[in-house]
Amino acid sequence: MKILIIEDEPDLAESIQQYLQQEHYLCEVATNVKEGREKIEYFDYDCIVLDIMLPGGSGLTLLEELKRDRKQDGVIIVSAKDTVDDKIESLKLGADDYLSKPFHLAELSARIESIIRRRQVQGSNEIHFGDIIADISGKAVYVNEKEVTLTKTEFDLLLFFLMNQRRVISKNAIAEHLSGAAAIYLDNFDIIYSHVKNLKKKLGKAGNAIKTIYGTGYKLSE
Amino acid sequence: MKLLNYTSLRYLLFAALLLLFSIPVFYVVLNKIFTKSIDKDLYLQAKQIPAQIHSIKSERDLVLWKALDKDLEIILADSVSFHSKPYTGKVVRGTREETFRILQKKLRILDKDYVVQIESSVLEKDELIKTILVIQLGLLLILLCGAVAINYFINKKVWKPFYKSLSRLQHFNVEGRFDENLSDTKIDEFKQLNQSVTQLTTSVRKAFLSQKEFVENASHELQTPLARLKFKLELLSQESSGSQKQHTLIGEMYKAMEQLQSLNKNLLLLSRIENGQFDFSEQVNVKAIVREVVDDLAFIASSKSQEVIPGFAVDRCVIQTNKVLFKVLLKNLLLNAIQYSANNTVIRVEVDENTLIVSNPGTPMTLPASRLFERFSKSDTQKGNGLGLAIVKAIASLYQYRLGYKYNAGHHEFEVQWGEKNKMIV
Repeated sequence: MKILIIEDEPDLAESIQQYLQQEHYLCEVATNVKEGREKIEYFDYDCIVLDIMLPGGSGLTLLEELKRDRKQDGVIIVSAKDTVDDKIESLKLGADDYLSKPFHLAELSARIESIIRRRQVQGSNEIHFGDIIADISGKAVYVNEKEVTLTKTEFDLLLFFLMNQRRVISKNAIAEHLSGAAAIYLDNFDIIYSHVKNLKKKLGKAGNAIKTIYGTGYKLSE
Repeated sequence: MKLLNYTSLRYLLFAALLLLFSIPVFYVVLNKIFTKSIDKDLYLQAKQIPAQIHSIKSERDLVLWKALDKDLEIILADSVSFHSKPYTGKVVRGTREETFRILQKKLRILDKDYVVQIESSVLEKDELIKTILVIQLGLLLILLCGAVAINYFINKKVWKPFYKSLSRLQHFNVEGRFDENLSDTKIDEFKQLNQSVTQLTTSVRKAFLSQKEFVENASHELQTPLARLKFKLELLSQESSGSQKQHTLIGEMYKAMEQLQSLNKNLLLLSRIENGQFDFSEQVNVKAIVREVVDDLAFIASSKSQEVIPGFAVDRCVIQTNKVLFKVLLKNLLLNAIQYSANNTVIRVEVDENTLIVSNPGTPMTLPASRLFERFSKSDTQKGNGLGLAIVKAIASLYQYRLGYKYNAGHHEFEVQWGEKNKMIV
């Protein structure tokens, strides 16, 4: 899987690259419009992480060019300018998703994963991990081919784990992913504990793959 | 008291006093003049009497004279008291009693002492004085009213630049647009006033703008290093070699990091709202937004076993506003309610035609209500950064919603009221 990160802050781009590379992604970085345009022209990417404010122009022009040339690359816009215009404009121009800065790397990774999955023409929309199979479009989970009934929150939580396999996910990132609001408004993370506990219980033995990283969060690993 | 009324009242007071004083003086003076002239007449008449006396030779002549000259009265000297100077007295003529000016003169006719009384009626004189006084009074009144009116209008015109400056100051709003054009005036004092007003407002605005600019720039510049820090922390937490102690430290740093980021994000949002960077507005279905936000916050509410229950008094409520900001407004009000309510409580959102009320149970707050919507004013127990309600206020003032708070029967109630102009004509 090839990902292109177009972001003017080299340090931020590098962090994103580093995080994504821990999975099976191959990441390349462009720091301005010109560089981004060249890369897009010569190569095909599964997903492009595109910042709007770039030296030498707006990221949205790159998006326009991409759509004009009928390129199939998935695009996720990341922007610090959290304005409605940008979001509407981005989605209207054909971006697959929009993420406003600041975001969690785990969140970005999950969004990229789902964009790539949505764009895969052939193959089922399923994620496997050990004995666990999650059917994203069917919203169903199977452990050893037996269906497990999960609540909506538990399903979202499991999917978030599956899309960030073998990586530590902070409780903050989980809270934000599930609540849509900053985790600072939570009195404590008890609710995360209890959802994870229930999820593990429902997954049975396979649930042991969700490991608690004391002080930080959780990690899905063998 | 208005300036104009103040001066006009002084004028009127002066006019009234002048009238009150001048009328009696006038009367006395006129009366004196007229009496003097009547007396002069009387003396003149009296002078002619000795000449007439020569022609009286007998008692019969005297009787005839008495009968002929109506203005004279000839009385025997012993029967009346004698006044050497003219005096005013009442004389009965026929059935009527009239006031006369009387001059008495001693005469000797046919060896008998007589007193001749020359009389002149003062009725005419009184009437004349009355007429003159009425005319005079009328003229004075007209004159004074005219003076007051002219003064009023002149003052009104003269003070116009002053009132203009005053209203400019009254409508001055550091955040709003300001009419820099000064009204032209010839009067030096007003020129100076205008200059001072302009100087003052300009410097206030400058200070305000630079403060705003600073906040915006600072929070904007902070974004990248904060994001960098956050990413590094996230990467650091991936290091499996880290000890439990290190992971705990990372977790704590993460928490502080999030707080910092949220604070920064809110500050930035606040400056953007205040800078009018959200002037985009559209038709917004309030009911849909309420459902959406309540849904978004269900997770946070459930962490305290709270329930957010929306209630709609109307079927359809569409207003003209900015969707994102309206969502932020409601979200902040609800987050505030969630944080200030105990576990296992119910928070309500009531929507009717032009109001939205968020109510939550709780003890009376320690914060004075007037400071509620100020930046960084929060009670010690609150988790947020004290900007939530300040953002609500900024959004409300941008769209001219009326924002209210009251504590009612154990419930905190926040009310947002939009006017007719926000409403959509459906």
